[in-house]
Formats: sequence, structure tokens, C-alpha cells
Amino acid sequence: MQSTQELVDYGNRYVCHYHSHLQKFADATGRLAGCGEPLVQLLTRQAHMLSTARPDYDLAKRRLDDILSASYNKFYAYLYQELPPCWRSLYTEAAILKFWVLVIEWARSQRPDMVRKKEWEREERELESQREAEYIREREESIRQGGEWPPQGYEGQLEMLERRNGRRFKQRQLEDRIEQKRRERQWQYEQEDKQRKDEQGPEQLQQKQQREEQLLDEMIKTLDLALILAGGGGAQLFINDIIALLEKAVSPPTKNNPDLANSKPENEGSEQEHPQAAPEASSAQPPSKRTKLSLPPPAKPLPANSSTDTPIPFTNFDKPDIPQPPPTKPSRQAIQHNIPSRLSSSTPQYAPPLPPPHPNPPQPPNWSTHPSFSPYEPFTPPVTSPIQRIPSPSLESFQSHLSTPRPLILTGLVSHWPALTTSPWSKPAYLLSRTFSGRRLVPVEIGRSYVDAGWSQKIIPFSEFLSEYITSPSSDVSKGYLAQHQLFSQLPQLRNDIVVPDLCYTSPPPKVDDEHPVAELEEPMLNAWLGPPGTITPLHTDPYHNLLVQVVGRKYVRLYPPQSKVKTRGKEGGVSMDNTAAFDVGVLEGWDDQPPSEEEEEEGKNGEKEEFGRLECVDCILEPGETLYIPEGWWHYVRGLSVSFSVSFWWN
Amino acid sequence: MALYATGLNAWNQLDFGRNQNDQEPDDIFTFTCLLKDKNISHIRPFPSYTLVYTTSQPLTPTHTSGLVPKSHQKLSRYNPHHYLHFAEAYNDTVVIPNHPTSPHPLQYPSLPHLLTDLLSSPLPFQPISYPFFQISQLSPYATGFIALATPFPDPQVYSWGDPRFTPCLARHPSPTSQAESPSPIPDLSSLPTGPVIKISSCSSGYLLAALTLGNDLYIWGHAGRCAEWFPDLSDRPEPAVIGDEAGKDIKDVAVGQAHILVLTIDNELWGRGDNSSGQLGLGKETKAVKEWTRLREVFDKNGGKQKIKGVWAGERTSFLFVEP
Repeated sequence: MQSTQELVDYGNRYVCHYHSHLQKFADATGRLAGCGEPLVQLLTRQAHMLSTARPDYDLAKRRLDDILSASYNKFYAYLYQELPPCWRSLYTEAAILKFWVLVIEWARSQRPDMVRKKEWEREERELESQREAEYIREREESIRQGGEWPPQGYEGQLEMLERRNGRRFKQRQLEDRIEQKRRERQWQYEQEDKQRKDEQGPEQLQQKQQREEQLLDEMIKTLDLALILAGGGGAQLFINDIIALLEKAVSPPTKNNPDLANSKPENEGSEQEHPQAAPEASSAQPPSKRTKLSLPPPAKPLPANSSTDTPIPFTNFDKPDIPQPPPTKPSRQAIQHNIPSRLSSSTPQYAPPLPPPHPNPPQPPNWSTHPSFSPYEPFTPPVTSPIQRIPSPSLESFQSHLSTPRPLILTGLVSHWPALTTSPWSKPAYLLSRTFSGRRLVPVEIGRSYVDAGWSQKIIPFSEFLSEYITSPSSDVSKGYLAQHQLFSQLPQLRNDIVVPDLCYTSPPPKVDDEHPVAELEEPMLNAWLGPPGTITPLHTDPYHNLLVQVVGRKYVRLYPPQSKVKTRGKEGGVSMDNTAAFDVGVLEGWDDQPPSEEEEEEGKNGEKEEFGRLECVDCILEPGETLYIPEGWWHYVRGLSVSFSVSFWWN
Repeated sequence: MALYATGLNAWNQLDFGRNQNDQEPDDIFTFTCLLKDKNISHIRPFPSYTLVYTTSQPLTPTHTSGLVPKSHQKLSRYNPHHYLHFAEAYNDTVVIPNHPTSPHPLQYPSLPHLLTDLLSSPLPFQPISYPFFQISQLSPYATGFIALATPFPDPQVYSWGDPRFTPCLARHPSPTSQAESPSPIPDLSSLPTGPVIKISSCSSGYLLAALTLGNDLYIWGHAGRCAEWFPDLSDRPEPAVIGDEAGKDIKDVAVGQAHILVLTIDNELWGRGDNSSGQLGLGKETKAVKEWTRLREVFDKNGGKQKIKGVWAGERTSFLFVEP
């Protein structure tokens, strides 16, 4: 109950805060300036509309979709690395606003009483603020006319008296207006309730639940697409925090006891548990006072200048009282590079402070009784020239190894990882529990290998990925591979299950190849690789040193030194494929059939096979808990043998 | 002459000053009369605003609606001639066709680059110059341009742009005719019904069209980016068969981001594609039509007295001139 309230409260606060932020700083920060005034203005207008008492949610949602589609279209029109960062920010910020629209829709279905109360509070404030505005107008009028304020002398007193009477009259008028509105609303709500009661058959209930489930999926989709497509626009952790708020509101006990909420008044005690972190909560009226939609005590008049620079005065009530920090102007690089170091404060400048996390009550369940992924291996290639295995080198010895790098398997580097022990990634149930019951979306590569025709990518819920492609794939479905995805910035809760090896903080000798300069990484780059047996990453090189950690299942890896004469693919469809070999290791070794698209080119393949056979290589089968060091520039071919989950760490 | 329009109205670009107020403007979902002016000559629909030109004043717009971005305002001030003819793709590339002071088409990475060049001397940016052809029509698509150019004897359709989207180029890039530099589209020369007289595409779309002197319509584009509406879109110009099996003769065509409007010789209006903003005038419920669909039969019902003189399309809008 309370967590739904918390979610909706924070959403309302966010929208108001965001709107005033856009008004004040949109031009100054330049975060969105490159998107042009029309789109920034459109976004600002939606934020404004959503912060009023009775927004047209349907229109706002369509407009936010318009903004999302305009920025998404830019992602295609530009090469990934050339896209001006403002478009990622615009996409993300529109997505967050849309999320709050969906939250209100969802909360209205779940807890109509609560949403109504919120709406009425806003409406009441809007009506009240009209009175404030009138008072201020009156005072300013008098000052403009050369009078003093308050007017002095006998005549002045008389004038004040008249004014006061006038004001009292106006105040009564306002009270009447509020009362009238209140009755209107109450009548409207009664009608709605009556209608709902009439429709409370089991079928309607099921429809309602279905609708809520759809809304939930849409909420998560909206934010996950912002994380996956737009890289979170500099707000990854914040987005994850609001998804966590949502997850708390959705958690099963909340869902199953709707009666409890209606019978019990708001739990005021727990709200006082953290008054210092949520000043706006303590300055607001206690919720119980408003449950009857009664007129609150008149608010203090606003300071004189507030009528000019805050067009929606009631935002002052919703905004925290803490003073605004001066707008800092971070450079674009700073915004980008800030991402990893932002762990401590995830809230972007346009968002109000998040409610503090509740102490974590549930004990971690015992996962040992849950089933693991199947260890079944349909095919195991032979290892011909095995890579050396050592337990775990010291930082110094590894640093010296880097000067004459060769591939190496480290057997004891990650044995302490939670992912291998208490938070077992080998259990589908555990992974589902960390992905909002599998609702979170992941990008999946469909097809045998990214160089094949018909290869594609799609973004699907994690639960669908597991069931369709991993735990019970039907035989006619092509392979699905969650590959080279920065899963851990999208799902920080899984990030806690692994530890970046210290070895990634060594400094390898500088690269000799100046043809493709690679920027130095400030932090190691983490990628997740989860797929069924038989996934293939074709022979390729990366511009980084790599520690490939095998967490679940087994993988075959074959490596060729950088100086090997590996034929590359050149440019395909305007995209350089220089880092990928023209050789298909699986086909040339006879492990895989020829992909259908290339069968015509059979001649010449024999020569290729000979050329390929002469190249020297090393190989291995990587077991769970083992780490393969792949030096920068080494060609590598990777093949999942069973269901396999690995993490790669790139550094330079 | 009356101007009818439908579609996205987020910036009041379909509202010529009649009922503007503080309320968030909604889209228009059926063709609605916006303006009556007997001298209307043509319109230019931009994503956030619309310009209407009249015969008496062909160089400056008589009516403006919506929000004109600052960069466009600047261009119209600095160089009205460029403003009349420039084309801006969705990857921000800008081309200005030939004009009196520079006989060659010029290409800039973005409008701000062009604006800086217009203000300073020597030029801080060296634009790409295409000295070998005279552009008579220029149309941007999301990642490139098509142009109707007139090397004698016949006008040819040229295309150039991002090699990642070769289907929009309608030709195979090669070392001698690279994707990024203008080259003729072979499939659009020596057509059975005469040369191409009109080209159409949208600055944020991947769908392109060409109309011949003999009233045949060819369309092509990137099927992957239009899959929702034109799943069978070819990467080579193919004749569009509309109305009956033989295909009606086409008088005019207008291409939007994901919709297309076609006017036939017998004054019928047809359309296909996205209608999520009402850009085909098919109401709020119809989100898209994936087949060629007859639009706006109201004009026929008036005893055929009202004739549609021409069609235009913005990103997510459609416009018609109707007579009388």
C-alpha cells in the first residue's frame, strides 16, 4: 500500500521538479540544446501539463511517444559513435516522463482512492493559488498606482478595511468554488464507483488484472528501452532506482491485500522514520487530514516575486524546501564519464531526491533447492594445443606477463564471486528474481553468428529469453544469444554478484597500431554473454585486453596470434568488418554446416581451408569458475558448448 | 482555393491563427479546411511549422503556422535564397542547390555549419561541392538526398547518402560511384512513360518516390525501416499499382516520414502507411493502413465539383489544395 503511495508521491514530485528545472535551466545546461527548440519546447509543455491538476494523460502519452520516436529515429540516422549525446538525453527524459504517466494509470486502476486524493490536493492548491495571485495582483496594483503598502493614514485604514471586506468576500467566493468543485468530484467518483461495482464480475476482475499487467510491462519496457537504446542518457542508476520503487510497489503482499489498504488509515509512523531525507513529506499535511477532501487551512501568501517566475504556483508546495543548487554546467564528456563514478548519488540534477531505501527485510532465500541450467552438451570439439593453466597470478607477475602477452587460463581468480556461490547464476529462479520476475528487457541476437544472413537483434523480456531460447527451446527456433551487452549497468543488482578482478587495473604497454586509435577506458568495460549450447562468436579481434570469466557452463575458445595471416571481411553495408575474419572456423573444421547463403561460393573454399589449416593456434575448453586472459589483438573464436553465462572485462 | 490538412499538430503547425490558446494542441485526425485564399501557389511543410506561399508573393510566405526553429529563422534572414531551396536530412546534413553566386550544389554537415559559413570569411568550413550537375528538384531523406538534375539531353534522378542505407540510394555503390557522392539511379532512366518529372521523400523517412511524365509512380526505400507499413518495399524503384489491376494514372505524389499520398488523374486521393497522428485523415482509431486505400471520399460526394489541385506531405502531416 504504502509503497504504491510512495511511488506515486515521488512521481508527482518528480514531474513538478522536472518541469521547473526545464524552465529554469533548459537553455543554460545545454543538455538538450542540440535537439532544437521545437522538441525541447514540446517536452517542457508535457512536463507542464503533467504538473497541473487534471492533465490530459492520453495526449501527454502520445506527445511523449512523438518525442521518443523523433529521438529514436536519430539513433538510426547517425552512426552510433557520432550521435550527438543530446538525443540520448532527450529520449531518456521523455521515457521517464512517460513512465510516470503509466504509473498514474496503473495506480488509478489499483488504488483509485489514493490517486483521487492526490488529484484533489492538486486541484485544491490550484484553486487556492488563484487567491494568492489575486492578493498579489491587488498589492502590486496599489504600488503601481503610487500608493504605499499598506496604505497609511485614516483614508488608508478605511481603504484597507474596504479591501479586507472585499477580500473576505472573495475568499468566501473561493471557498464556495472549492466546495462546489469538491461536490462535483465526489459525485463523479461515486458514479465511477457505482459503475465499477456493477462491473465487478470475475471476468472484469480478470480484465482489470490483465490491464494492470500490461501497464506494468509497458512501464518497464519504456525505461528499459531508454537504458538499452539510449544508454540511459546519463541516468542509468536513477532509472534503476525508480524501477526498484516500482518493484516494491508491485511486490506480492501489496497485490494480494487490497482490503487492508481501505480499512487502515495511512501509516504515519513509518513516514516519520526518515523525515530528514524527505523534507517535502514532512512539510505536507499529514495524509489523514485530507482523506475527507476537506479544505486545508489557508496557506501563507507567497512571496511577492513568486507570481512572476513560477507560472504554476502550486509547484512550490510539491518542491522540496531545500535551496536549489546553482546550475552547474557539466561538459558532455563529463556527463559521459561520470556514469561509472556516480554510484554514490544516482539522482540527476533534474530529479528531486529519491525516498530513502527501506531496510532490506527479506532473508536471502536458499537457492540450492532450485533447479540449475542443464549441463547438456550436444557437441564437444577436441582441444588440440591447450592453453597453460595457472591458479592466480600476483598483480606484479601479471603486469610483467603483459609485456610479452600470451593467452592464459587463471583457475582461482573468481572462486569467491557470489555469482558462483550464494547468488547462483546457474539457477534460472535466481536470475528471474533479479530481473523483476523476468520482466526486465534484454537485447538478444537471433541467428547462428553475426556474419550470417538473416541474423537480427530483438529486445525481449528476460523471462521470455530464458524460456524461448535457453531452458526449453523448440528445435525450429533459431539460436538466441544475449551477447556483448552491458547488462550490469542496466541491472546493477547483478553487478553486485561479481567483482572486477584487480588484474584489470594493470596498465598494459601502449598499443603500436596507430591506424585505429582507441580511447583509454577509465573503468574496465563489462559485458555479459548468456546463451544456449552452440552460440558462436566468429573469429575476430578486439581493441582491448580481455578477461573472459566463465560463470555457468562450458565454452570452447580458440585463439590466433595478432600477426597470423587471417583474411578479414572488409566493408559490408557501409560498416567496417575489418576486425572479423573471413574464415568460419566451425565450417572449416567440419563442426557446422555451410550457412545457406554462402553455398554457391564453394570453389575457392578448398584453398581457403588449406590456408586456414596452416595457421597456428591455441585452444581450450573453459570450465565454470575459470578465467581466460585474451591479449589485445589476438584473434578469438568462441563457441558455447552447454548453456553458458560468461562475463568479459575489457581494459587497456 | 482552400487548404485542407490533417495530422500532427504538436506545434500548432496546422493552425493558422484561428483558435490558438494555452491548451496543449491535439492532432487533427481528418482532413480539415485550414485556410481559404484564392492565390495559394504552394506550401512547404517543415516538421514543426508550415509555410504557405501565394502567387502574388512567391518568395516570402504569406501564411506561417507553428514554431520556426531559430536556425531556420537565421537562414531566412542571412540568405533568403538558400532558405527557399535548402534541404536538410535527418542526420543533419544540409544541401543547398545551385544559385547565382555559387553555380555548384554545396553540402554541409549541419545547418549551423552553413550559418557560420554565411557569416564569416574566409569560410571556416569547406563544404563539399558537386560541380557536375544542375539540380532542378532536391529532396532529403533521413540519411541522404535525391535530386532531379538536368544534364542534357534527359533529366536524371541522382541519389547520395549514408552507405548503411543503400536501399534508399536505389543503386549499388562502387569505387567509381560511391554512396556519398551523387550518381544517377539506373532504374529511373529510359522509362516506358517518359522521364521523371517529380521526386518526393521526407527529411526523416526512408521511403522515396518518383513520378514520370506519363503518370507512372515508382516507389522504393529501406524495407527494414518501413516494415510496419511497407513490408514489401523494394530497394529498386518499382511501379506502384493503385486503384485497379492496370494501375491508375497518377497526377501528383507526396511522401511523409512513413506515409504516402497519391492523387490520380481522375481526381481520386489514395494513401498508404502510418496514420498514428492522423496523417492520412483516417480518424483516431486507424493506426495505419498497409494497402493502398482510397481517402477522403467526401470530395467526390460533392458532385465532383471540388477538384484536388495538388498534394503535399510533412513528416506526419498531409495537405491538399481544393478548388473551388
